[in-house]
Amino acid sequence: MTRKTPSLHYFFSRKIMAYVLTFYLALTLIWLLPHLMPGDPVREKALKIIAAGSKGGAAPGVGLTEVQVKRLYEYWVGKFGLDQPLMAQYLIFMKNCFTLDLGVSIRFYPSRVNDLLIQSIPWSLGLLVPAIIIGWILGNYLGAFAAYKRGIFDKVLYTLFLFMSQMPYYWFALILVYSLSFHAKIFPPGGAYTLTLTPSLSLTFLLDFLSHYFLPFLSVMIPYIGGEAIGMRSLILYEINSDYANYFESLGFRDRKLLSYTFRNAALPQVTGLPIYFASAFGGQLVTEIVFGYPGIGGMLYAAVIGQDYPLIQGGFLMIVIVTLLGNFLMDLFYAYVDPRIRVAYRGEK
Amino acid sequence: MRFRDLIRRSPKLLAGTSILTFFVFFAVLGSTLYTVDPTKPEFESLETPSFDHPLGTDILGRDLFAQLIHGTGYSLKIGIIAALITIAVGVGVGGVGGYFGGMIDEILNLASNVVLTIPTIAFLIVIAAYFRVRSEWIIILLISSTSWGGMARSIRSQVLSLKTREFVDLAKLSGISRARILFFEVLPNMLSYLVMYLALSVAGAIGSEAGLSAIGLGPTAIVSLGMLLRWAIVWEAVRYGAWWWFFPVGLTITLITLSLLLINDGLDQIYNPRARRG
Repeated sequence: MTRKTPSLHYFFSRKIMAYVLTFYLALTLIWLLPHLMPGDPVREKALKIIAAGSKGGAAPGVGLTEVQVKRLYEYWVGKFGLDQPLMAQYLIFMKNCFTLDLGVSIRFYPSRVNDLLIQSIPWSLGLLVPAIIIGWILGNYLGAFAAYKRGIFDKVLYTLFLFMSQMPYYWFALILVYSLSFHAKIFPPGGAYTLTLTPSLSLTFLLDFLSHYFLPFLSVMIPYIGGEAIGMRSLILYEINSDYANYFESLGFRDRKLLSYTFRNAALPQVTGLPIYFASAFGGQLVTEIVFGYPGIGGMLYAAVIGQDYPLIQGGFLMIVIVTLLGNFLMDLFYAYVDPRIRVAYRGEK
Repeated sequence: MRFRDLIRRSPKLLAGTSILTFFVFFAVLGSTLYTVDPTKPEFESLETPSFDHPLGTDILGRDLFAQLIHGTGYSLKIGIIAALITIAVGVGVGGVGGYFGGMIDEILNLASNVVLTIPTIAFLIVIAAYFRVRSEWIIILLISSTSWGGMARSIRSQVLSLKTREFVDLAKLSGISRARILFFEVLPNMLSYLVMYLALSVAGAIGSEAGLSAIGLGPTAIVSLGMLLRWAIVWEAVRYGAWWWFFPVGLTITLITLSLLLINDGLDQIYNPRARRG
């Protein structure tokens, strides 16, 4: 059966539709959730802060006077139109989202949600992007190597890769902290830098930053290596048994040459798997950041959830959705252009 | 094909089923044989593993071996139920869309793509955050509602290719309804695939539950493996050097999901000749 390869245009119109709809649904969801909950989260929150403040207790948002809380509440009501009908509230919220303005945080009053998020995004990406790039390269080479060596060597490595890819990031993080920080005392157990130092470009700060960076980085990268290696290993095994590889071998080429050819063929599907991995690694990293107390978006979202800081939760979620969708979309764009097979796979037809 | 033959043909399948069976028995027999209450703080705090407490105790003086037994049971239960729901939704959406085509297909396919593009963990965190009290069923529904996208997509593409085969034409000629053809003629062809996907889904669901629980957004009333890790993180087990507190729990999660992956891989070797050489 002959079928015309679907055009890029067709492919992208579908893809974009899915992205726009996801984005829209995500926004609606974060707007809807507080409304589905019993009570008025903002008023409840304000009352809680007042109560904690009068008792001198250590609740999130302490240190706010009654006047400040009242002002915060009024600000919130005005900002999100809480005194208006639901439909109007919905439109106001959408407008705020599209102008990327989610108001003021409750827990970190009077910081703006935007500023808090902009501060935390570089930390998260600074951890994730290098971990993915280095992990991808290492994982693919190790996987190819295992497939190529075969035998007991391959079996041991395969088991190891499986283990690496399946262990929870945060559990591995605990092990790293236990062995390299608690026992060996080589690395600090958490944080992004020693708080007594002020961030600057000096050598002491840079070294301090790197020593804090290393464990979270490893805890994101190592599991990722496992996943990539497993994929590469099976792809290479498949390539090695293909006709062109057998022919190549019979011609008497050196194995290394063969490996480099099969590697190139197998690398493309691995590249196309990146967007899916990007999303899952991003998700996994959120938890890791919490374990290490790293000031990224995961730690921020966590603080917001614990403190029931709804504006910050909404903002953090919005940010994660944007980063994930944008990352996925850019990669889609690039690879659909490179590899026509993806377009076909997307339509799900043979 | 008998199960014994299956296992002989794939050592991975043997390894996977052995590990999984071990943990199932561990959870089922453990709770009847080892009758210590996992939630009662009735022992010395932070005891190292000993004969009385095979995995020691935590800072509140709760027995960690009992916790591991109950945690394994709950995590397996949550994983299996969530995976079954995931598969049911995936098969329904993918099968109906692929077989009936047209407008229904467009809509269902779009829905699958939306579910696929959602950043799962962030989504779970935000929703779970709004539920103050979370039963295990809420968690199960949350996990399965975010994970059926991939399943629906692959079922759809398989149905698309299967529905052009002769046996479907024959069934149509004999006048059976379209829904019957889909569910009784087309879908049974994918049974091996469904079993493989079930293994993957259970692994994924156990991982998601553990991740959610580890940051304190899992089920509020039960002891799951993720919850145990949660306690180890919150009470800073590492700072006390209490490796027995967190190490066995994470190892259990890893081994269970690893065994499910081995099963998936082993079945793939048997059913998919291309992969057999691996």
